[in-house]
Amino acid sequence: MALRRREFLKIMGGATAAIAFPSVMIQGCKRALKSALERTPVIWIQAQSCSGCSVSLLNKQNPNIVSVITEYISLNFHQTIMGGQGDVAIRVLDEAVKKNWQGYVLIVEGSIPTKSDEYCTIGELNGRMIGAREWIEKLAKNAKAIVTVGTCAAYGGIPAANDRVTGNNPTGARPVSEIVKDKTIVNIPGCPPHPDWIIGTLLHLLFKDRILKFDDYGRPLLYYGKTVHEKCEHLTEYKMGIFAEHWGDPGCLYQLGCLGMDSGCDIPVRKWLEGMNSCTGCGAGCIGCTESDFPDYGKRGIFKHVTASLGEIKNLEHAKSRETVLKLRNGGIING
Amino acid sequence: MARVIIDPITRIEGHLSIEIDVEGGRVVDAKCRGDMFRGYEKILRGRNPVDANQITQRICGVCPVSHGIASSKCLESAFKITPNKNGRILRNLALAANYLHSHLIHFYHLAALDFVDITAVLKYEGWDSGLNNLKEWAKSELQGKKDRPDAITSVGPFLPRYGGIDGKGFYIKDVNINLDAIAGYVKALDIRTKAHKMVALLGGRVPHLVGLVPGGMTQVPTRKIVREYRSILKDVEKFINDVYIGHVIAVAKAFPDYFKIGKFNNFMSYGLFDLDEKNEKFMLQRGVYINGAVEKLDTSLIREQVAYSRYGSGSNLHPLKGETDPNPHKPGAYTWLKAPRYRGLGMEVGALARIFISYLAKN
Repeated sequence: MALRRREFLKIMGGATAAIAFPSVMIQGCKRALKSALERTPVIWIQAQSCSGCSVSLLNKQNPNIVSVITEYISLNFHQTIMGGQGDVAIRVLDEAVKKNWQGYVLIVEGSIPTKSDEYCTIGELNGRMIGAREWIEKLAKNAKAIVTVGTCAAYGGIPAANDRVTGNNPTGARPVSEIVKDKTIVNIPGCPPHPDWIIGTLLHLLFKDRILKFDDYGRPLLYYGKTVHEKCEHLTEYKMGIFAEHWGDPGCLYQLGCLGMDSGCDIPVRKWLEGMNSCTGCGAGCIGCTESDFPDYGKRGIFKHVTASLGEIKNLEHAKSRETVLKLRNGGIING
Repeated sequence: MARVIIDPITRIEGHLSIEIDVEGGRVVDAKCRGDMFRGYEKILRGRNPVDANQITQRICGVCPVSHGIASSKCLESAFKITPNKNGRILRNLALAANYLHSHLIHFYHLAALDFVDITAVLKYEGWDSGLNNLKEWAKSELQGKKDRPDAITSVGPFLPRYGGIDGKGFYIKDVNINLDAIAGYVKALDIRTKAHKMVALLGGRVPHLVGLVPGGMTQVPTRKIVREYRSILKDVEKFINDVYIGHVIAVAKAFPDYFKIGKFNNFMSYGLFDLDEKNEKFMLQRGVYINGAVEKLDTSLIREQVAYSRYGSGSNLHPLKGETDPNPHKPGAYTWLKAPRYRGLGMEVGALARIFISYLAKN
């Protein structure tokens, strides 16, 4: 089961590993890996999700997603990519529960509605539609590990945000940790999470000779241990006191409501899609999607309140939006 | 009467199931059930309007750019601002790149497994390492699975073998077309990532762009970015022209009967790729096609029907007035999807509708 350090680095998708590991050699090591490991079965369930985490996962390069699925894990259920439909698909979950299968990894994407199971159902058995909550409760019992992918499954995320008029969430959406209370849950938050985080954490869990350290929110410190601010492209500008006042300006994005100081995430150095761009790099700023408070942040919301002048606000067409903008402008807390 | 239920429908974004009643060999009733509700209409209430640009993108992880730009335009109309020229062009480019991605993922990774017999890979004799990898994998999925400890079930959920009613199977029968399409499936994974790289260049990341804001996009279009976008586009273009189109034609030829199934009556297009900042001129035209004639689109004629949807609030309302109050136990209701109508008619939207209307409007 043990992996050599170089193979391990390769799998973790780190930049150094990619350089130290020409692609010709990868082929040989894959064989070694294959014989060294029995593929661990994985069941991936999507509850109240947008499939964004799965789409992000498909962007995994080096190793790419095909080799992850065919060589490292045995993916038995995943609604967005599996070939089977209806009975063929749902039989996997049913058999896993009925035959008391052990030793699989349960991955959950999306939050779970608690007001009624009808808000999210997956499959039908004997004329009864089965709620996502029921599947997750049953499958969690025998799972070797439970991993949440995405902020929705980890902390509730956007589906669990409140309707601010009534103060309630429409579906009672909750994170996995409130459905499965007696087991340790590994969280890989992010909206969506970087594919390196998903595959990296997963393989960490499978190869037990390396122990991951987690923070208070159940996130691997390896990826979430430092804040965006600490690794930010604009850190020098921040130190020099150059702040952007409008989108598109050069400088630190703090004044525009960047949440980088409060969010644990390594995107400014890891970057999206192999160095293409990052949230801070594109000038928008961090929206804090890896944090448990996303997207509410108390009353703050994602962005700093509208920066329009009073005159501009008065010109707004609808009385209601005028009121809302004024309220937000006057009563908001910016960056705590 | 026999009832056929397919639940879940996989390889789509979202939760869907189909219920069909068959009597004497004919379908007498069919229900498309949307099985999931999150309540975005409610969650958006009382928030900073600018947050809507981020929140609405989470409706769908495959097409976040469309939702994000729709939200940007909505905010612009509320704030009475117009986007700047750079913003408009960058949005068009980001949206276009995401369309490339969506078409690839739809054809190869979502729809193809309904046409292509993936077990054909077992007959592969060549030297492509990717295909040989897949062959080994398929072998172990199908043959060795029962004895292996990682097998949860004896069915191959990733390699379904639907026999079909006549036992002949629904898949393409030509082994070479199948093998070619499987190779395309693997290659398209890379190409769709490339299309996503183009989106990320402009929007910061993808899925769920952070760079979309009312008024334009936050990314400053430097020469480096434009050059990179263009160079990746060339790769994607090459794949589409050399491989993708060929596969579409091969699949179309393998199922000639499908051209006789179904019909189209009504199309609707909101217009795509803005040519001005006022939301009036588009590269693909805005309009509706009803009963053989193209008309101007009047959005005030759109209504949302919820008679059979699980919402307690009123039916047949304009989206501006709709309430979206969920009621999971409403009698007679079977779905979370609403039924939108234009002048009381169901309309086909999407790529085909846009091209069709554009084509007719220009003639």
